[in-house]
Amino acid sequence: MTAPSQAALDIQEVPHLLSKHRRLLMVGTLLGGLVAGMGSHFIPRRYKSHFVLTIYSKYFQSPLIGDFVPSSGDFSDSRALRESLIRQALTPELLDALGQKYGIYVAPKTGGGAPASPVKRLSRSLKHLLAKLDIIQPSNPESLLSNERQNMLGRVEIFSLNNTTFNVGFSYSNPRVAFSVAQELHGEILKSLVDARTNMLLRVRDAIHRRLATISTSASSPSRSGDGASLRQQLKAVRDELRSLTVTYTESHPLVQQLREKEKALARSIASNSAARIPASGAPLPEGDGSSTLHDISGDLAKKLNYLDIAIDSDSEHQGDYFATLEPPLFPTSPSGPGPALFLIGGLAFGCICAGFIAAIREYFHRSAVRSSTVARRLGVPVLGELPALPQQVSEPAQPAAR
Amino acid sequence: MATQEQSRIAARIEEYSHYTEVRQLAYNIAALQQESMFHSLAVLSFFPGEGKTLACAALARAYFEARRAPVLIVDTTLRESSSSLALRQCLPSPECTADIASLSDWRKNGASPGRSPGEDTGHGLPLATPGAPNDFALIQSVASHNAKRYGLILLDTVPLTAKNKNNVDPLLIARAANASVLVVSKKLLDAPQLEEKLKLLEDASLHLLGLISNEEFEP
Repeated sequence: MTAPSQAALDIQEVPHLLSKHRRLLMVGTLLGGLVAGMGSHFIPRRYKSHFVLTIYSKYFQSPLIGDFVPSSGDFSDSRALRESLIRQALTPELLDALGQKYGIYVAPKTGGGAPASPVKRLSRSLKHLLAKLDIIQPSNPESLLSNERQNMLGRVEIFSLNNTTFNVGFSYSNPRVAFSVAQELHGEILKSLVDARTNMLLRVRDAIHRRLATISTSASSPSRSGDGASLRQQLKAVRDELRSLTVTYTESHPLVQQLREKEKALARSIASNSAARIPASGAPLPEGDGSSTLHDISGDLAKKLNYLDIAIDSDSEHQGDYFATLEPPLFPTSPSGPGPALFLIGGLAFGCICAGFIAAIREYFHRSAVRSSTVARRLGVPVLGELPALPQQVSEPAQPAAR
Repeated sequence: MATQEQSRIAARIEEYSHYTEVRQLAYNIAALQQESMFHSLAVLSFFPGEGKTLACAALARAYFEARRAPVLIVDTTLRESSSSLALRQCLPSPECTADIASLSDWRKNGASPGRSPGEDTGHGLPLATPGAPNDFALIQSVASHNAKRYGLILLDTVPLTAKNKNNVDPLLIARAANASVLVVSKKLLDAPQLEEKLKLLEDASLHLLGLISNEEFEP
């Protein structure tokens, strides 16, 4: 017996099919909603604390020294530049410090930090087992730490509101931790921005110092190339170094103290030698000590050095001119992400779609499997017999030919 | 031409009735008769061209071969579709011991012309009740009064989904008969809303005995 052909699904049958499989659709929808509703309680809530930071264009500009300190380019560059400056603050050391301090990092076997949840302990045991069977590479502390850092970095969200303004946020399951970490990140990012600009200016100033020293050495006369001149140059270099260090460090810093000692020693040496006048720091070489070209260059460099000193001093006092916090970190009052209501609606919709799909599959196979025996079972009656196919050829009649 | 076509169809039906499956069907019907003691059997189907008339013709021949008892086939269709097989085409041969009667003739004439016009009305079918009020009563009287004369009375009906209102409702005929069978073909199996259709047959008054499968038939 040939298999029955399958009836195609007609669009007009859809209301009937919906009615036919209404129980399945209702159960599927309710089940989907129930699972989603229960799942929303087990899914850990995430709280996000964020702040909004603007970096002005003058951060990248230096009017006094603009001819040799590069400023920002076009808009696309400036946005990328600002974002990279913000991300530079997220150093591994900072992430580790925050992760350990607030218990975000999961405790390794022998280390400190927060105790692992049962799920993570199970995951760790499974990984250990797979590593024993050589299915995966065994984990080591470096890789664990790297994973933790990546997770930590994943919790930090940075996106730009426009070319100069950025929203920086931190998400965590504990709102207090999220708020505290956001506050610390805010402070660290601001400090990083200040340090980046200061270091840039200091690098330029150190380069000018070195160039001046080179010019001084080449312009100095043979008669002065003796001890007195070299002592004066050394003294000058030490004083310049002291000037740059005292911007960042106090007098009690060991390096500063060391240089002070050296300065005193050099001054004593010069005073004990002969009475060549010690030029003031940064002052140009006296005329006639070198060619006029070298004199001009050194004068120009000395001027720029002064300007740099002014810029560095100004920056240390007016940091707020370069960036502003438009929105400080706030304590998160409600979890971020979809709430239980949205989960429920999503679950109901998903359940309905799945139930509809199952109903369609059932209808398809039901149709393809319907036979006379199926109908007979349905009606509760037997199949009395089957009519064979009519013969195509007409044979001789009146002779009972049993098959 | 029509006669040749008639002969060809009749020859095919005659050969068909000798097939094992058809004979087995006749045996089963006969066995059920012994159990349920029915004399009239309505042959139903949902769609035209499913094989009711073929089943009636083949079954009639096979039943006679098996029980050696004459069979009466009552054609209850008043208006046939062009694609339907005509009973008289299937059983024109005078050797065939199946009588054919038509409900429309009864309505017109009040008595069946029988198989051979002018023949002795030993095979005639007088109305059991002169001036029967309706078709239901007519069929019931035919069934009851000819029960002894014929081994089996087959009632060929119109399809259950027939749109022609002039035809007698096949469910009415099934209720008037002692029993009924359903011919099932691919048309029904592939039809949409099959469950809804089958609900029509859940009526106990139809006395549905079973199904006759005609899945082999390719329309």
